[in-house]
Amino acid sequence: MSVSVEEAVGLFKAEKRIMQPIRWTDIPNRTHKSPQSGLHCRVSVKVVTPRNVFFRAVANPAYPNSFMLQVEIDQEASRSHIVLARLDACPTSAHTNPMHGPEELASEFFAAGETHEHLITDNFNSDMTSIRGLGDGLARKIDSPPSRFLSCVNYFCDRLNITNGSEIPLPGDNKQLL
Amino acid sequence: MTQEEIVNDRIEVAVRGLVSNAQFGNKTVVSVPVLFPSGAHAGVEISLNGDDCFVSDAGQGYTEAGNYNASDFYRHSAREACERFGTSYDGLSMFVLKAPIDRIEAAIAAVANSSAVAARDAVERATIEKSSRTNAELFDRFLDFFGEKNVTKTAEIKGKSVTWDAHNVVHFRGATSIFEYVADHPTSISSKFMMFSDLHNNSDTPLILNAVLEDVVEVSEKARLIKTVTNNFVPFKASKEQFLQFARAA
Repeated sequence: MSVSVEEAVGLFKAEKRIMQPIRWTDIPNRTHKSPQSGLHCRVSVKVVTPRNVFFRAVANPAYPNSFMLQVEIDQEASRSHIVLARLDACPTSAHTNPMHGPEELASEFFAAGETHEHLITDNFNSDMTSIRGLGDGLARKIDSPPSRFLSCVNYFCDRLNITNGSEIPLPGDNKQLL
Repeated sequence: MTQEEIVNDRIEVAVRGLVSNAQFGNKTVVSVPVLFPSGAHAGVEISLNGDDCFVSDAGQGYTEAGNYNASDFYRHSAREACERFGTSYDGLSMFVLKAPIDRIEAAIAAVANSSAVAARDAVERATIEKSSRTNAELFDRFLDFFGEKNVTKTAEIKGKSVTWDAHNVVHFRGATSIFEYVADHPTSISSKFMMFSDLHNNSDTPLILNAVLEDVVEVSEKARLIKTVTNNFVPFKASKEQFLQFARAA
């Protein structure tokens, strides 16, 4: 069964917590150098921890202002995720919205370095009964985009009603958990 | 200004926006209008490599696939894309190691396209693939059985010859166990046989190797080969108590 619009909206609005362990791990390549680090955690919703909701972050030390924060939902009928929301902070490449969707978002262009967000609530089909694609095709401008990692985390967690964003360590820095 | 001049100016602005470059230390990142499934443009990283250039996607394709839980499919897609575009793949990034400076356009196009094509193929495969009783489902159960701190969904484990991405690695009472799901299909059996053999032959790191099968009573002849290189055949429907036992029974 794929994720319904009601379920997506409910998850988007519900109070959430990112579950421990919240730790950055290296994403190695074949030479075991690690140009990226990532963080992948379960998310509790109200008082339960569903098995299909996750928080993900990816950072690249070569581009310290550029990172990605995402909350995603596993689908029962498929291996792929639906994206509930994603913040692309200072991305190194541009983004183009497809030609469909609401007038204010369709065909919007975001230059490289322009922080933007993908919200599932912008990615429902016009009859509002199903999710378009994997939930993140259309992105949205942010009026006063946050710039540093912690302010981006605060912004994203406020947006998603995540109450413990302050527990997320800086990329590559797990020391504060010890 | 004529209408034609206005349009031409606007097109020039658009083209400059579609292809941009930015400097990050000794690297230049070029954003090109080759789209990933999310709509992100491919960003190609260029740095000097002797007299030539190193051109890489810096793992963007892998990250884009990962955003949709398609990382497991990316490796296969990446290899196919490399063959098609003549690029290389190091398990994370797609790249051209030594691109002649006077042919840099071709390297940028090849890396951008191989990265985007690999990510798109991986996402399509993940979307088509029906969820089934797989390692992912085992992992969910193990979280309950062993606790989050004792289970890793995938971990790099060194065998005698190479390093493997093992699933469901459990650290329990001083022992490390691997629970790898084996489907009753020749491809699955042969790939798991290779992995288990190499891990089995690495005496430096004692591991408890468990092959998880749908049915451990009626095992096919080919699947029985795996028995020789594992410690246990574990039924998929095993209870919590049985899994705890297999995690400490070498």
